[in-house]
Amino acid sequence: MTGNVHIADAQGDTTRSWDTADPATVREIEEVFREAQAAGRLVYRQTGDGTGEQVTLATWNPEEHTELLVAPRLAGG
Amino acid sequence: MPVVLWWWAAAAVVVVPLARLLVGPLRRSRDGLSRRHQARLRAEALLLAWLSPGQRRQYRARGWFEVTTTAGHRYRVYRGGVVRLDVRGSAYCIEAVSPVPIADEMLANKLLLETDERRFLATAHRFRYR
Repeated sequence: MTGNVHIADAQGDTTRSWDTADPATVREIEEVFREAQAAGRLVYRQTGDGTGEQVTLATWNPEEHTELLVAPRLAGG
Repeated sequence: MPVVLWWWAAAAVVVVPLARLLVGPLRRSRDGLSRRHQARLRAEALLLAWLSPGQRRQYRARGWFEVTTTAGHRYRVYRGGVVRLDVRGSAYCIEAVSPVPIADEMLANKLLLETDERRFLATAHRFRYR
């Protein structure tokens, strides 16, 4: 199973992919999770057309949660 | 040598190095604008991919979209702010702490509202407007 994580950044969207047949790519995405968590950024998985759900490294299933977004950290303006 | 030629030579001595000095910054400025434009396009494509069909229609037609939270509260997400629709006069200022295109910020607001309204309210700066 393959999947994509979209990282919202200054480039608008930096996409990284994984393939469960290649554990190294999955480990890279786990590192993306850890970096996002350290930066206080939330990660969402797409659950349907226009819906999402927060996901953490502990709850992420690379076989099922194949479309992820790392949102920018928000603060009151 | 005629005076006109002297003038042309003098002008060339001044203008050519000046033009060379300007070319670099102008090119960098143009490249920066192009990069920002590409980033805006990528962020907007990402936003559209995560919006519901109804939100997509609203965004394309008006530049904003509405969100209904799990508690049934209605918000409108604008470029640069969020307004609560079912409580008159409540608006929220909330922004990304890192430099991202506005569409990325709108998407982050939508997802936070839909998945964790309490956290949104705890994070955003609320203000009243008429």
